[in-house]
Amino acid sequence: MNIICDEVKSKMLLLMLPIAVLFAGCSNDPYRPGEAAEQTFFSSFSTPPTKLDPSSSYYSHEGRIIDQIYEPLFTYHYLKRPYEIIPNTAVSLPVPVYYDKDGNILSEKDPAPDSVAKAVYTIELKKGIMYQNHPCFALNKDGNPKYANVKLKDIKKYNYPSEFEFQGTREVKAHDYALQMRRLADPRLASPILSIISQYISGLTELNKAYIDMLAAERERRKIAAGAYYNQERDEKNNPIRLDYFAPEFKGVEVLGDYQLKVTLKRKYPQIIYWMCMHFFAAVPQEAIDFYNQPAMSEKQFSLNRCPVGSGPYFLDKFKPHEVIILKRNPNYHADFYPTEGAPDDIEKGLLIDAGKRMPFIDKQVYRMEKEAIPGWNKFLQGYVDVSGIANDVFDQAIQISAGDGAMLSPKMQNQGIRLITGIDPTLWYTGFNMLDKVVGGYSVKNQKLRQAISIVMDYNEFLDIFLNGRGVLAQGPLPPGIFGYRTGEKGTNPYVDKWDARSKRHVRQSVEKARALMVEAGYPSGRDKDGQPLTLDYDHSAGMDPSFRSRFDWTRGRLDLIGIKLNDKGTDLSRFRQKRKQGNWQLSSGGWLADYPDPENFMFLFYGPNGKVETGGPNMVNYINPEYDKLFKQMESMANSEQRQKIIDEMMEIVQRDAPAIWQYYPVSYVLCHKWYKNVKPHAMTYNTMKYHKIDADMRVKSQKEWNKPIYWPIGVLVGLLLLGLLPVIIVNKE
Amino acid sequence: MFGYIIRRGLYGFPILLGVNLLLFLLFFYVNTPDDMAETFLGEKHITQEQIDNWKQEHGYALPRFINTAESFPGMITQTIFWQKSMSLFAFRFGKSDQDNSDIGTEVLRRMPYSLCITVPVFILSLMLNLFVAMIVAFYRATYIDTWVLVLCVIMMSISALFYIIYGQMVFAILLKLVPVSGFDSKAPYFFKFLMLPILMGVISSFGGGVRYYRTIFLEEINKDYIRTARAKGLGEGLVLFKHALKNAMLPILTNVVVMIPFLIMGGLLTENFFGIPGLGSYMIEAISRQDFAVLRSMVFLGAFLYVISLILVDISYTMVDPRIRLG
Repeated sequence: MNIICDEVKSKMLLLMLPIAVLFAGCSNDPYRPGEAAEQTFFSSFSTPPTKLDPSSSYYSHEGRIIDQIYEPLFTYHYLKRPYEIIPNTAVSLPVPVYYDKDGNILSEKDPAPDSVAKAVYTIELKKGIMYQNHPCFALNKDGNPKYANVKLKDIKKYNYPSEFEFQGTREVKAHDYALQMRRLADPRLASPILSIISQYISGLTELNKAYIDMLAAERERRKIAAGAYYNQERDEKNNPIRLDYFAPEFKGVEVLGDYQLKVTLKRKYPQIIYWMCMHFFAAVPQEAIDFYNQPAMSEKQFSLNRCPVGSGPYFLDKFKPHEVIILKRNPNYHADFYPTEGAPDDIEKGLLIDAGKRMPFIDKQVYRMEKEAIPGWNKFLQGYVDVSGIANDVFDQAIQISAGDGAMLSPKMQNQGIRLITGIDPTLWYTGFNMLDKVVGGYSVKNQKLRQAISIVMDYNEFLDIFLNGRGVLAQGPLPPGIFGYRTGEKGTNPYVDKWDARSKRHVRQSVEKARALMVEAGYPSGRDKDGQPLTLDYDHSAGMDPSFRSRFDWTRGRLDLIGIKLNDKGTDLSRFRQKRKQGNWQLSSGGWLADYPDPENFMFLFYGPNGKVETGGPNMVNYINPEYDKLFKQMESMANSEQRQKIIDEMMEIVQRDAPAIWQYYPVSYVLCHKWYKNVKPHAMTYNTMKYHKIDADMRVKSQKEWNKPIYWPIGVLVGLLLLGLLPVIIVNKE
Repeated sequence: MFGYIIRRGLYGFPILLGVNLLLFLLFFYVNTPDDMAETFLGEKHITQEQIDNWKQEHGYALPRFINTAESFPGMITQTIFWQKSMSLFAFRFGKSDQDNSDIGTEVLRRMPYSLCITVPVFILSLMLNLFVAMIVAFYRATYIDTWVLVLCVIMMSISALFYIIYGQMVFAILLKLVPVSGFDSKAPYFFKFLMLPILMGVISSFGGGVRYYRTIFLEEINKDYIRTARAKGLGEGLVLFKHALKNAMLPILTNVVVMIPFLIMGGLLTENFFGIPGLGSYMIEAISRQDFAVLRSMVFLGAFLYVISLILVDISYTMVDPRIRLG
């Protein structure tokens, strides 16, 4: 029996020893030795980017990467508010030349939209802007591309284009911008902005059709050659189709020289300049398209979708979308200097200390995948991530709300030197009433009153406090703050639903009594119709799988109950939900809109009649039609910002507030936490190319990380001791 | 035996075909290609023309089962079912609907990440659980047995998520010994990222494992050959680790070999919480992005591995029990 006892002891020791050895000498530092001491920015991502092609990429998590690689013609001033557009690779902002239907130049600066038959923008490019180093530019001695017709065996060893032996660069030319604008019409790239901009850029719809026909013809040819077993996907993987982008005629974009470009619009559309601030209008070299359009590259999964080629401040060094994304400073980046002026309080905030210095300041950016919010948050607290948002679960740990000062950092955060930066997002959340529905829709005064009563009782200040830790501002209409036309304070109050509370300096909902009175006027006293039946509404959604939905729905139901309205949960799957919206077969449903660009047109069009979801599949989800509103929208749509435009917007706001086609929920407020060593940070809601302005004090970071992360070993010894103690009963029983 | 393997392989084919058919109905009838297109194109600016183009580019513009515009065999091969579902039998998984990446390449790329966690957890848990179960079986009906069983029941009752979150809290946040999460595929840096998930994996499987193996050993330990072995004067170590263990191999093997698909497919929770970019994580990403091409492939791959592992169970029986013959 003692033999067993010895065996047990020795085996337990054998098990415990490696555990103790493993933990000894370890630390919680997730990076390689010395990495933190470099000019490197550390962050994380939870959703892997899937589209890095500037034609297709649309989402913010993709924009964070490619907006630093590609350079559009124009950009936004980093510090000035309201947002101001400045030239980026263009020499100056273009002044549009307007033509009437007879081809005569219109002399007015801001002519009436109806008088404009054509608008021409001539854009001058800066000289000397070079692309990043890339193998697509590498040339043989004879001047031909080094990697043309390359075989898989020759590139098998490379994991990424930056590893290729031969690299090259060249100057950015107007042709590259024209190429990219043509690529927007390539059906294979499914550009998300094609349907919008093809309404404005001359010939873009026709170009798209021409490309579709070219592809169809080539596929038909290949199908006939391959026979019954033709598989398009496999065929194009082995032999990608090379589309000659410049073959069809396209009058919308013309190259006037190496550094001059002409963009022609079908009508007046000043918002085109905002689109030109986005990566959709960046330069893409033909060499990159030809380089990636080879079977060997396709086999290695090298494509513009995963390996971008740009002229921006950074280039993509490593792209493992499931693990890590690394960007490095582009050694060919042109002279670019930190702004010397900004918003009034920027000097006070230390945002102009680096004024006039050459950018970028950071050499490398490392983004590691972090699917769950809590581990990411803990890494931030340990100093291993430079910036973080605040998840709901940890809000109380980070923020304290005091009556006088509002949101403040908790003492622990303050001791760590963490800074809180907040900003209202140019985003609108609303609950729509389907205007085609006979109960909640319609344009009679009674129906208006019903919608107003429901809007009043849905107190989104309460919602924000309960579910979002107060991170939002009660919405007064479709326009969020920061967008021209938005009125602050009492002037901006929605008089039908809200009132201005001078004490708390914020909007609050009117009383439930007012809502009850409106219900009586609407013909539903105590929430009952003329037959005495309770008014029952349906809430359509596809959020059944969202764990937070149930409590939010219960809150909604509880609020409506205050005016006697019963609410049914009409949850369904996403495709059925979409179908219902398309057919207009719903009553209440929630939606949101994030600004594409900072112009009121981008929000007001959500309620423009011809954009109705049922009629045209447009973004007017609630199918709202008001001829007066539509008329004003057409006037306002292409106007320059002016008092006149503000007046029209005020009128439009009054109309939608009165008609109440939606319950205006809130404009979200973003909270960002930055460590003390991460500098020059100012939130920017319109562009993601801001990393070049940011700066890291690496020495301070290393010092803080060491101080905050001293490993504690003694509990491991205690644990091993306890496990050994666990053997005691075995020994005792053995002896018994 | 070769004939048996072939026969079992052929039996597996209708199962896989059934899985495939079911998947096809789920993915192409419940959720139509139009719905898929809308999901991927987003809801902001989308037209029917764009939906049609997307379907054309992703090979979903074909008829689903029969292409009446084609003559045989084109009427079968020029369909979504043939091109998207039957091609799975040739392990041609195609491209992801979301990012056009090659699914087969991605599976091969991510598999090692999953194996990095699941194989050590599997081996260490097996060794630890067998060892403890044997000890407990030996001390059956004593208070050691009682308390270990109580501990096992407690450990079984706790969710795996609890172990993960508290493991991160204790070892990474309070003791600061290992990183909270993440991965670095370069040696030797990956090692520090593996320690915690492996440790938590071993701990979370301890309760269930020990109870299961204890039951098996209790059955064996009361048999005549054990009494005979002891009567012959063999040491307890030899009796337990040589004789009892060998004879308990049949149920142990059944349990062990059917785990193979799960080892390869990775741990959904573990990978998600520790940020390990393995196949479990790939599945979660595909679900959240509604990437049906990836989901179809992964479900098919899981079914295929399960069929294979059942064949392996049968083969392994013949290796540990000479009385079993496969014919």
